[in-house]
Amino acid sequence: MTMSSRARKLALTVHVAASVGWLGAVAGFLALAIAGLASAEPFTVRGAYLAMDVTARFVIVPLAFVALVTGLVQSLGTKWGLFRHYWILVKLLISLIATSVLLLHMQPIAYLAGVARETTVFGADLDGLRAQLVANAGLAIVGLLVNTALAIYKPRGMTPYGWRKQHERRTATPS
Amino acid sequence: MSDQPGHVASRPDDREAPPKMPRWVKTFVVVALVVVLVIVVLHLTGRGFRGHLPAREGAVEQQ
Repeated sequence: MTMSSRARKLALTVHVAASVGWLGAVAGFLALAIAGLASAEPFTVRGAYLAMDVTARFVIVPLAFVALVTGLVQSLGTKWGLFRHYWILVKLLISLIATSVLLLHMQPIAYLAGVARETTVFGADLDGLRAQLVANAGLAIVGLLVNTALAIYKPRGMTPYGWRKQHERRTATPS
Repeated sequence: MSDQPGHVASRPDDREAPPKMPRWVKTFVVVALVVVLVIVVLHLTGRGFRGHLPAREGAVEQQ
């Protein structure tokens, strides 16, 4: 199934916008996570965790899913395919891991926001969780930057499946 | 993904045998495995989220 040029450009536009938006939203989330962990100002800490919950719930998660779905549409709807080139496979893997980790962390993020709603003082038993949000947001940014670079550079490398398909097409239509 | 395949670095060659996995993919797999291993170990040793989600009352100090 190959998309028309107009549909392909529309899907690509949405995919690029969602992917870059996802990266930017995670960067904002990381800044809030650092402020929440490092600030000595109680109201800054409280505001940071409340904002992180809203950002994750209404910006990061929707953008992650839009980026993932439009990426699948882009690869399956064009001659690139999903399993033919290593860079597409790696990009898909990073997106799936980042989305899964994000969903796994929604509960702790909501938990911290719940604590922030009730008080301005966080117990020491939450230090590990707060530090881990910083680390995971940092890792997510690295992964999303790798994805951006892969999309632009498209490094060489065809999978055995892609090579077989290419070979079949060439033998089916000899020039 | 805007470029058409076959006009960039991913262009396949005419070899009879399937191409080997590129070095950058092997490097990525090793780095990814290390990162996943570190995250799993952190969680299993109680430094992850499971060890840091106490009951709401116990997590909050008195104001």
